Amino acid sequence: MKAAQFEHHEPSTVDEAVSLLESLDEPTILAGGQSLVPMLRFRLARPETVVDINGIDSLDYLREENGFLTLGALARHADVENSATVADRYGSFADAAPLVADPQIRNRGTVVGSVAQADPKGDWGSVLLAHDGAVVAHGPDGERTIPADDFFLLPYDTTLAEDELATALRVPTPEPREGSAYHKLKRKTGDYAMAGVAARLVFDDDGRIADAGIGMTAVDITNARAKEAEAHLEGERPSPELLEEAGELAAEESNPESDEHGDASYKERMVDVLTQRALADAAERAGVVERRVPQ
Amino acid sequence: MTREAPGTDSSRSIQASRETAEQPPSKRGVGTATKRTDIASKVRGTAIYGSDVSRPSTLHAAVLRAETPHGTLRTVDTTAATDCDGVVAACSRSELRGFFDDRIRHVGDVIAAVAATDRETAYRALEEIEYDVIEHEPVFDAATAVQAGAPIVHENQPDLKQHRQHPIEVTNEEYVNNIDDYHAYQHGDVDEALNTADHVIERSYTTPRVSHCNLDTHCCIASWTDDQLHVETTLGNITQAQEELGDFLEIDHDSVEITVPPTPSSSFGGRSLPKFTFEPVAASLSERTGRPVRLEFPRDVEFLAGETRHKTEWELTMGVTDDGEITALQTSVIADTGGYPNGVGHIVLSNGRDRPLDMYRIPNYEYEGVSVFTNNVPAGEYRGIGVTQGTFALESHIDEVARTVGMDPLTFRSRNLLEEGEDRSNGRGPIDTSGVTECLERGQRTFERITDDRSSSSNELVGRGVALGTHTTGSGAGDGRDVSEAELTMRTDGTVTAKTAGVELGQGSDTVMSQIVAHEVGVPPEAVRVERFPASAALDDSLGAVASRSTYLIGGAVRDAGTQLSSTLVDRISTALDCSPADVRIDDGTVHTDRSTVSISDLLEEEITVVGRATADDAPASYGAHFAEVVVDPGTGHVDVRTFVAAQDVGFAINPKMVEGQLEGAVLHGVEFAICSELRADNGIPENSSLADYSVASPVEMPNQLECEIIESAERSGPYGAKGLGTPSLPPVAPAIGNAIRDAIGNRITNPPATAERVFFAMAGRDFDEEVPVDE
Repeated sequence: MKAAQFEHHEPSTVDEAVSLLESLDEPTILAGGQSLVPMLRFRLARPETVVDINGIDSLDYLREENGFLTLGALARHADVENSATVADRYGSFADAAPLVADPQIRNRGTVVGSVAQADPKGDWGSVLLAHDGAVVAHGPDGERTIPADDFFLLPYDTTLAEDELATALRVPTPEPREGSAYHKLKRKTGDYAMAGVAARLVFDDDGRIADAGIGMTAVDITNARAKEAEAHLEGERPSPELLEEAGELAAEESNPESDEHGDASYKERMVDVLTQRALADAAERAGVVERRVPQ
Repeated sequence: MTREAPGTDSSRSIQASRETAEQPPSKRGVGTATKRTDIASKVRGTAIYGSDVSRPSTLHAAVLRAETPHGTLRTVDTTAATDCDGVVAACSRSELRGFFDDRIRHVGDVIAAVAATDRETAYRALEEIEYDVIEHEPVFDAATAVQAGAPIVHENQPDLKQHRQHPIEVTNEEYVNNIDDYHAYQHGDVDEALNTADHVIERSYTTPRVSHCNLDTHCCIASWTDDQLHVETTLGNITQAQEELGDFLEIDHDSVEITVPPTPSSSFGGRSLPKFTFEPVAASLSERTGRPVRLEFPRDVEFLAGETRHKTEWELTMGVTDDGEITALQTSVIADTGGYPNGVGHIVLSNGRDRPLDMYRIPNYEYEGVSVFTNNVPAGEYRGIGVTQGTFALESHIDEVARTVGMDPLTFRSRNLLEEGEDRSNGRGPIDTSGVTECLERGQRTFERITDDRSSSSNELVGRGVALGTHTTGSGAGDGRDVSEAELTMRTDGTVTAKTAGVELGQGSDTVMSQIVAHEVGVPPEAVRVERFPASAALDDSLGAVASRSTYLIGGAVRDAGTQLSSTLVDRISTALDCSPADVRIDDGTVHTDRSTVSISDLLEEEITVVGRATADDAPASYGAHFAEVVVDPGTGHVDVRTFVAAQDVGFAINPKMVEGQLEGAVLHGVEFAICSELRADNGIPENSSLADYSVASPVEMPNQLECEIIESAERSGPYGAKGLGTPSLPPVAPAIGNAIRDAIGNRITNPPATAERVFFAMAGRDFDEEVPVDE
């Protein structure tokens, strides 16, 4: 099927885009088109107007500045996948990027677009949560920063206003003893997550966990934090037993549903396994644990 | 003979005698890896497939398909659809030509159809059709559907002009309703043998409903000229398709002409025969409008109406002695035919019955199989019909039996294999050529070599498994009724046109035919043009490009024609050059004698046409021994097929590179069957009828290490010793992987696909939804 007819707008600045969002009737934003284009083609979406932001060159960046790693709204998954900065310092980003869909989609799809789409099966929301990151939005009243914890409301629903454009996301640059990782289980290559877990661990000088972030994919109505597991980790030294306990807590905190990807009971067990693995990788990358903790 | 095999595995060794060819061979004749004739157009993207074809003044069809699995159509009102701009005709189901009654039998069944000037208009018009269905109680479980009192989908053995209709006598009194086909057979005394066996092992296996997922979706263009129906579509079995379509539409067989698009699409059985809701619908709309009508399946309809592999349930009981001799096998199978018959249930059941006896010595044997109508989507042909399912059950079971008697599964199999020249246990004569022992030995050697010195970490469970498989070449009857003819014409420029019954479905048959002609006549393969002969030709062929018969039987006809052409050509040349025919040697299009070297075109003044013929007096069985190594993630249950060796007896490899390709393709299909694919349904509504949700194997799922061992047993009846490959290479793949998983985790997944979830719960030793039987 082909998309139904729509009006196509191509702003070249953020301000222009925002004023289009303000003036048009129920506009839809097109960035990479990863989710929107299939919806158009299957006519699950029939927007009257589409605001295509691909011409806003100022949004095409990925950089570290002012204590943050910031990704502009046109940073593609492939940009993350190929970034030396990311590869060196942001384990969870480096893990997640090549696991998103397939190469063609990674070349077009954007990280910010994926977060704004707020599909609970999306990978980046979990990474953002684990890193205590934030979404930067522009609206008629200017710029505001929405912490990840306040961003996701429901499947495909966020706290972004109708006339706001998500222009970037950002996470704090890593502490000296910090590591992060993302683990994802899927039915087949290129598929959405059946379950995924992002973990970030910051250690104090004493080798204890000073800060823990755990974000979960596809096991709740939105990307969700495993807060009890995080709290259980903080102040402790990593050990296989501690990670097992954290895995169990995260599994308990998750609320998966049975669907074509798998049974809820299986997904819950997988949250446990993936949490342990992501935490183990994070600890290893932080340089406080020598060897990977098995399973 | 000269042999060049660029790019082939150097470990390959051809052991069979190849001295069958009497003619001096062309350098690029049989036995060499010549380039595919269609490779350039396929790589460049210039090949025109069925869905690329457009014809002038063609209308586009859209079909309104049922969303409920079982009901009676009370009213269908197409008035508003007919009134839409651009719509030329709208037909309700009862207005379609053929045996369309008022009953809806599966999700995706036809309610009405529209022909319009463009596809979008046709689809939009569907929304204007109003209809009223009285819903009936559906039945989805074949074992339930066959019992008394089950909702009736069809009367037993309805006549919808499907092929292979035959009288049946159902001796099982529990089988009452919805019977598509039934086979029972026995020899020896199974009860007695099981009573006296040292071990009796009984187990159930199920195999899933899976789809071919051919890349090019179904697309046909139907048109009428007076009373003559023409359908352009990819169909492998054209002769039979013409007959079936004619019977179904109630017109003469001769009034149906089927042609294939310039480049036929892949099939894997999915394009052997017409589909109930496809060609007849396009034909009806074309008749109604007087214009050509193009009908293309959207991807989801491929799953609903493209016909799947039959879902099957097996119960196997085997008796063995302490020292590992099979004394009895009792098998029962129930196959789910879905909503419509197509003659394929018969093939599922007869392959399930016969194939074990082509492999093993089974002195006491009892078999019962029934294929059953349900309100599921229809099942049909899929590479290795029935034998893929049956081999999964049998080879899984044999693995268990060997473990029970404490024998190595490979040794157990060797102990019970039929030997060459030994009569089958059903009295069907001996196995003529069987490379199975060599498959086992060479496959095992290669497998050990490449899996040697593997260390496994505590993070992974490694398992290894083996399975055998066999399938006959051709229709399986071997009674001389299956024939094929080919016509060769050599033009005065030295080129040859071969008209054959082959359909190049990606399997490489055109290339093989050109190699045979080149080899026999002494011309380069590029000088041979291979065409499908038209229905109007006075050439005979029974089944077309199905059942692994292309190389064996069509190739046999081409070879017969090739030898005739060669001798006529040599006669003409010797007359022209005034020398003895014995002094003429033709190689690579050039004529050599003691005195001169000239090209064929310089000597030939009139073209030569000959017709060759081959008859299948045999149905030689072809064997494979496949070896798999899997790595299972103990935390998630994810299965990675790390290493695979496919040792396959092909009789003779006319093109070793393409044989390798066929084997690799079989491994891909087998991996998919073993660990990926299942078309699931909730109350008859497929839950994953899209490529986003239905898992197919990608290169990532392919083994990291894959070796194809080509075994050549020199089949007496096949051209140059060749026998079938496409079908026989698939069945052993999935059970080899299943046995490796069993080895890795200690439990058996008896219901593929072995998804991570199923393996995880099997490892935990826990039943899951009672759908995953787990053995301790």
